[in-house]
Amino acid sequence: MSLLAVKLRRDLRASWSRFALMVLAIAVSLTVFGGVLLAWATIGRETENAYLGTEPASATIVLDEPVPAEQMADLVTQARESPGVLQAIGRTQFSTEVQVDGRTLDVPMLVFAAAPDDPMRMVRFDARREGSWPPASGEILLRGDSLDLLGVNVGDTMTIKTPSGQSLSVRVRDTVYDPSLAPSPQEQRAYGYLSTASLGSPVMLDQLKIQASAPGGTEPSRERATVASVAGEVGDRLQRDRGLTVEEIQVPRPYAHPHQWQADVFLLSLLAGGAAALLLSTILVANMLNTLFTRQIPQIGIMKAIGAGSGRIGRFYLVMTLLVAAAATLLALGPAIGVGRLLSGLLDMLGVQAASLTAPWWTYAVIVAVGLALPSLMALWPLIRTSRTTVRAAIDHHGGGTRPGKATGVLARIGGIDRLDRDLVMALRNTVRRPARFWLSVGLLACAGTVFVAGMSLNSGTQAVDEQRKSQRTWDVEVALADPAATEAVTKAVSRVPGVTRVQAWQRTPTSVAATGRLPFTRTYPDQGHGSVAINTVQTGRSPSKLLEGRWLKPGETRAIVLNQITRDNSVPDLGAGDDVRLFLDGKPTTWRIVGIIEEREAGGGGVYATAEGLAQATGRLQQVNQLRVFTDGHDEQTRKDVAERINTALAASGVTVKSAASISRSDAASSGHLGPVLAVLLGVALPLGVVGAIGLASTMSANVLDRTREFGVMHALGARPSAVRRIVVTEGIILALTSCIVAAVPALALTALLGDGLGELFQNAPLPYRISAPAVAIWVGLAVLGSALATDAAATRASRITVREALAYL
Amino acid sequence: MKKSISVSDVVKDYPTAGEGFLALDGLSLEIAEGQFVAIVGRSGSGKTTLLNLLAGIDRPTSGTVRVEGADLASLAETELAAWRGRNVGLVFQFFQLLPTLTVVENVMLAMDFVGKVPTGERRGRARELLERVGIGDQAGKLPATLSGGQQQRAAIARALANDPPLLLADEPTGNLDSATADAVLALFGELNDEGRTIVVVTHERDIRSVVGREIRLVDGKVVADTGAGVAS
Repeated sequence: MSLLAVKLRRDLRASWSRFALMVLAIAVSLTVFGGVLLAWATIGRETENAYLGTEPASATIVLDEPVPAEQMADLVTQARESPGVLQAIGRTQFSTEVQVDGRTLDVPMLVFAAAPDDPMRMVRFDARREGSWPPASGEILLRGDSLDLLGVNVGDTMTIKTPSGQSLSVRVRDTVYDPSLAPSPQEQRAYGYLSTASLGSPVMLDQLKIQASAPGGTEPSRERATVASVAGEVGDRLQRDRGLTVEEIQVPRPYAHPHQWQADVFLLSLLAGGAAALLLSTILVANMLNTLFTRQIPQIGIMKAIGAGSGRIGRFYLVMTLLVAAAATLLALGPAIGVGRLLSGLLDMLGVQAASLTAPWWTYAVIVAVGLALPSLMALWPLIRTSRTTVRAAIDHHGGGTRPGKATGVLARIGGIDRLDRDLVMALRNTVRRPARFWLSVGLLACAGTVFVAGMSLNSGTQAVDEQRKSQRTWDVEVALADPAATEAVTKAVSRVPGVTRVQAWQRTPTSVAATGRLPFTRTYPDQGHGSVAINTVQTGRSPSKLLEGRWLKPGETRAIVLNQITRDNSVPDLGAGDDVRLFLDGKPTTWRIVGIIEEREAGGGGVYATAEGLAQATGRLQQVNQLRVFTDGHDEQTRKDVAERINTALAASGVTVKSAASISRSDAASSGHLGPVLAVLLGVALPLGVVGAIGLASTMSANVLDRTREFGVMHALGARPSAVRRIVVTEGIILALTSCIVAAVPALALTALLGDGLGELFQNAPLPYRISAPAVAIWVGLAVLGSALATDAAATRASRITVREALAYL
Repeated sequence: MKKSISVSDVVKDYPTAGEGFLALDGLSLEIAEGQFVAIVGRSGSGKTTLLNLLAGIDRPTSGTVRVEGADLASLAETELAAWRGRNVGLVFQFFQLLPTLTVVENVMLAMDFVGKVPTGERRGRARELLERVGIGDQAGKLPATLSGGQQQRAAIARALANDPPLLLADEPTGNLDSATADAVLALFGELNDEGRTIVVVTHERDIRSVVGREIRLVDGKVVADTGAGVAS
């Protein structure tokens, strides 16, 4: 074995604790980075494969009135001949309440129906063909995760309502795997699949689904604009050639599962955090290596004096660096795979069952390359500089400087204050003695503190949203009627129900928004939960939400609407207050003026607001209602459920059909389902940063103690007790930690604002309210002080045990 | 006789915050092959600076330094390292052995760097050299476990590893007791007897009895030279 290899092995052994810390620092952050990378690649692949396996439609053209199946077959044939259309099929879908054993469930069901002879070449209901399509007449297939939500089993019978309003008893024949839809529990909605044979005759269909490609292409296009253009052309021809009315054209994000973006945002945030932690840890390691190289300068001088060149010495230290990087990479691989598998559980959030959890090979290659290259690159400059040290410079090198820095000089003035403890003064001056080392430690800890406090503060922000939402939801039961009914009759019937204290009623009508002269395009997915639009009649007065543009509605105002920003962005993004817009009501276009834009967090509310008078004028019907908010005398779940049941009965007795009547708790569950991962992301980033910060502090204190070996010896010679020396060193660590907390203050405020805006927009369509979590600040300061005391302990122990003889022999 | 060292009109100026410090002031001297020369003087007289120039560790502000046939100014750092390994053996006051290598490995490392001695012969030669300087039994130990005198002997063995024609020693006895110092100087005498040129920088006053020539420096100038141009 080469003697340099022997020296390398022994150098590593001599400073094993420092090398172990370096390996740990890189391994922890590489574990997070690598784990997230593996999960991201796996989830991306599995989701895309699963989603595309259902052959989703590029666009769904919804007709205002269903047409007989035979006519739809004609439309399909015509559509297939249109330029850019690869595939077309006719379908229908409807939302229904579900009754089991005579009891109406508080979970609605979205039912997808296709002809029994549908070849299922596109928009497949059953990606794995588990449920054997088609089910016989009177049978229904359920998506697997809808069973628990409905509380039914395969073989059970349930009653649903068909689009024509008839009750239909169906037996649950089997479950299917349909990864094109968001999971049932998240949307609080069940999914069922029927053959149109169950719906009686004539079979009526109202959806023309197409797969669109770029002109001349053979694969479905990934460009939404291309899809919209092809679908728009088909829609125009339906209206022009067939005299049909297109209610809306649904063009969701091509090739993207409805919840794909959430997983992407979550994992990419975590990946960015992991990369930041990795970068910081490699900077720390480069710094630790630099200290080590600096300590070796006298040895470099000797080696050069006996004939070694800079290149040879440089290679020696490069091998040392690579060994650290390789050990860390090796150590991180196993846990990274574990973290990756854990995070791949997010596939549940997408309703996707993985075919394989093995990440693609390139992700492992990236982890190994990053693990080996990043520390080496970071250490390259100190490595080259040290290996180029001349013999003369090496001979002149005396290790840690004795000359105090400027900061120490400034702090020396504090010594004039008699009441200050001399140990504290000394610790304070020593802390800033090596400014670069000081700022590295403070910076690393401050990064961790910033992310931790921002994460917890964002959690406070989301809690504030929940509390605000709860404070606004003062009603107890929500009722939806199957058809609009006279306001007075409905409110009277409900007011008489025992337990009801107050009733609010309004009308909600599905609509679609289009710019003047164009068909209405939406981003709605087939589950209708991601972008459906409805017009709500409202009480005038003050705007219920923050007004972004224009004004709120005036009493009795007609032809005037207010939009929320979600609906505007999903339909015609450049619309503003003062613009005219077309709303399709029952398929017929009506022209309105936008008087204001408001900010709302949830798209489910409908997104368009008008006065009751305005809607009545536009539809040419009397003022009616189909939505109720009911206040009850008790606010417990049982009272709400009982009242909901009684309202159902009372309205039925008055000849009004109830679509659903449910306690508001289910809506709470649906709205809180989306934001949980945010906190996990930030705490997931803060954890490795905290570990790296603690290692940075431990390394800094260890280097400080080593630099000052002689000083500690002198202190002992002057009569200092080991406990006094120990106290000084621990105090230095605590000062560092407290400084990091002060330094983190402004970045934490800024990061909270930045993430509150960004993540709030992504997950809730509006910035989160700005909150700084006081408990988070207190917890972090406590953790930093405790962590610094622990991280400093080893160095303090060493300092307190340095003997005078050792100190004087130290060069 | 052939010249081992030729220093001509060398000035070495160290810039400092004030006026600068003139370590060597137009110094010239020549040393023939096989001479055993002591450079003496008080602290600050320029003797260590001169030794550093001779070893190619430092470069003069002006003037030329030729050692073992090479004009040191013309060599780059890496070339200097290779030249030094082949031509010069260096001995320091504080021994400067690598702490994590054993004594024999320290000697072999010098051979590894230069590559002059065939690989298979290195360990044997290192042991021979250690035997020769009287510490053969310490070969497998780490430097920290040896006495000062033993460490200096190990350093001398290392300096001889590549059989250099010139030995340069900076205060080689400065950190040793008088008996050990005498023994080390005697060893240098033996090496000189083999024909090796030896230059020792020292402040020892009684070295004259051991060396063949003594050059005294004061303020960077030669003020006395007992045997200029005379071989020992």
